Amino acid sequence: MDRRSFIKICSAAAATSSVAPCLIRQTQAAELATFERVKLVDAQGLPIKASKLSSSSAYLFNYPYASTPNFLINLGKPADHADQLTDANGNAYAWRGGVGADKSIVAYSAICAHQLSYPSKDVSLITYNTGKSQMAGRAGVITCCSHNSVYDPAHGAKVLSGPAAGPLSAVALEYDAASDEIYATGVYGGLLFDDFFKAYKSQLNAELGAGKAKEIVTATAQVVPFGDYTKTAIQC
Amino acid sequence: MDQNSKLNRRDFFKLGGAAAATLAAGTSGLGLTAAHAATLSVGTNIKAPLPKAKGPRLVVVGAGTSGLTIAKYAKKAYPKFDVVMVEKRDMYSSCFSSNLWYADLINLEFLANHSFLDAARNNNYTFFNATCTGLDRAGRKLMTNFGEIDYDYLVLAPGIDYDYAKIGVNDIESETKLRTDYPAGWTMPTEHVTIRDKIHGFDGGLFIQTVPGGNYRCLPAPYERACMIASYFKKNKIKGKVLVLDANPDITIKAKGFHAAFDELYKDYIEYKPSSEIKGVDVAGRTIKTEFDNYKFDDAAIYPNVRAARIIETFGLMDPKSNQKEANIDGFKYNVIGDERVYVTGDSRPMPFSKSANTSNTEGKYVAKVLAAHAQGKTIPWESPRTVCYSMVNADPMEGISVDAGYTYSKEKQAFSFSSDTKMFENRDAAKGRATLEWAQGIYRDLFA
Repeated sequence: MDRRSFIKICSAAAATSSVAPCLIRQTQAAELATFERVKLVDAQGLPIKASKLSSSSAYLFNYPYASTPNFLINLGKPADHADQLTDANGNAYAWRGGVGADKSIVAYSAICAHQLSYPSKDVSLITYNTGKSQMAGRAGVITCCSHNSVYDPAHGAKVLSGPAAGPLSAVALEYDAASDEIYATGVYGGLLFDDFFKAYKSQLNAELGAGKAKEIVTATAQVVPFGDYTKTAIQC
Repeated sequence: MDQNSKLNRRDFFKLGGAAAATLAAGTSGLGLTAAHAATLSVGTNIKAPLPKAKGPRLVVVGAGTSGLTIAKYAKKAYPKFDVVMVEKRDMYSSCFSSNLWYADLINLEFLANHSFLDAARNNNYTFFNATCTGLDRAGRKLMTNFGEIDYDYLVLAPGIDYDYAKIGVNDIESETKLRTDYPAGWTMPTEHVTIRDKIHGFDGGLFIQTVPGGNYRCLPAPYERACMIASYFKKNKIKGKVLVLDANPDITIKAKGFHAAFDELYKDYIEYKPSSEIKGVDVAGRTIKTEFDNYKFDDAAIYPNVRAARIIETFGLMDPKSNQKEANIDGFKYNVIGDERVYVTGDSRPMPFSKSANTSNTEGKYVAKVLAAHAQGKTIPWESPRTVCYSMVNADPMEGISVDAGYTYSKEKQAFSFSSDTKMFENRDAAKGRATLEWAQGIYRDLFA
């Protein structure tokens, strides 16, 4: 992310909020880029309860931009390792692990770190496999069937196999144990948003309206079951 | 040699370049005076109109999958590189995925709505629309029709040309007629337009699709094309049959998946004849000759053997032992033997990797790192290219099959072969059909965004 887009994000964020969340340097994309702190809510706008998230399929929410989707996954088992990872540009970072009472809840960008496939309303080549993946030979992996990249969501979405040069970007989650609610506060581990907007600009404008794709999500982010979001989920 | 002792090596190469430039301009300049030659050979002895290099200049020739990947990723890996992409076409249209257009699964925009300018702007390099006419390796100059470009590193990624002599077509009249009337459809976009028109305008009868021997561009493509044509005939109730005349003893890749499609989907539409090496074509008589038979066709797409793009030979970079006139390069570092400033990649390489988009894309990322390392006095370990490739076998509904292959080198055999993690996915289904489209779009994004 270059300095110019950094400034753009800051001004976009500043325009929508009295809080200025851009006090960090984003030149090292592996570091946490803080965005709005948003509460994860359901379709009715009610807070998602971490303990109620099913582990039999993934969820999806757009963050930090209106057009950038993320997986929300209850792995069904704790993921409390602080994995040391390296992003596609060779920058090291530490994955923060799962959140929730069992530390089993994780969130990653659903934009493939290889060639930017992402879930559209029509189809998704990138999916979370609760059943056995043909590519990985096991369940519990995220696959992108465009070119067979396999990621491990229990370990910071590091690359298990395939052409991706780095992990999926991780969404920093915050868990409020008292209320069982979840917040997203930023993204780290190699940000691909600039590439994403370059690659899909016309398409996103056609889908969402001019300039909408880069709108910052504020206050709440709506979580939907992955299957409700995309018509056809391709698994491999 | 003695008499020319005053002519140093550098001058010698200059002459070679000038001569090549003259030839490319359509004259035989060797007999002309220097003044005449300068008038006739466009672009020699003047500098190409380009901004001054701001770092080591990396010139990439050929904006196909290989060249576009290298231009982008070399700049990423070593931002000091001043990258210039030299491409003779003024508009991109994709060769990979073009088969899908024949059955209307995609439109022309899918293939062609990708701008060289966007690729250059998004990835901080310069696009230069010119044709190469000569090379002076000692002086590190590339000649083009718009002038000379000084380089620190040169990557040639010019792709393939056809070799009609290998299918028994030895006279230039027949060859020209074949290129025009029955093009193969694996180099110029204008061939794709012609082939689509043949299919959509077909009145019925026999359509022949041939498959050459050797390491031709995109192994599954002729079989995929047969499926797309048959699918189109079937859907539109055209009384036509596709005869696949294959020089090889069997389908060369994903054989199970293609055989299943031929037998189960296109029993009345596709006939497959293996071991049918073409020995000649009677263009006027619309007849293909093999060793034992003659096949008369109503229309055809005739795929001759392939060779490295002619520029590799013209620039003196061809391995004289290469059966497909491919480049004489180091099989791991890609530089021309004895010259660490000139590299040849993509489908002109001599290694037996698949000549296909994903292979060139992954190879390009490795070569970009090789160049970045060399510029910084380092070396890096070899990485295999990867051949992930989908083929559409049914257009209605879309169903695909795929392969995911890597390569390994055996020191004992001194040869490359498929690596042990190579997988075939030959049961056709809708998921792989959909993935076939996204596979291509991912590569377009990688090349242009």
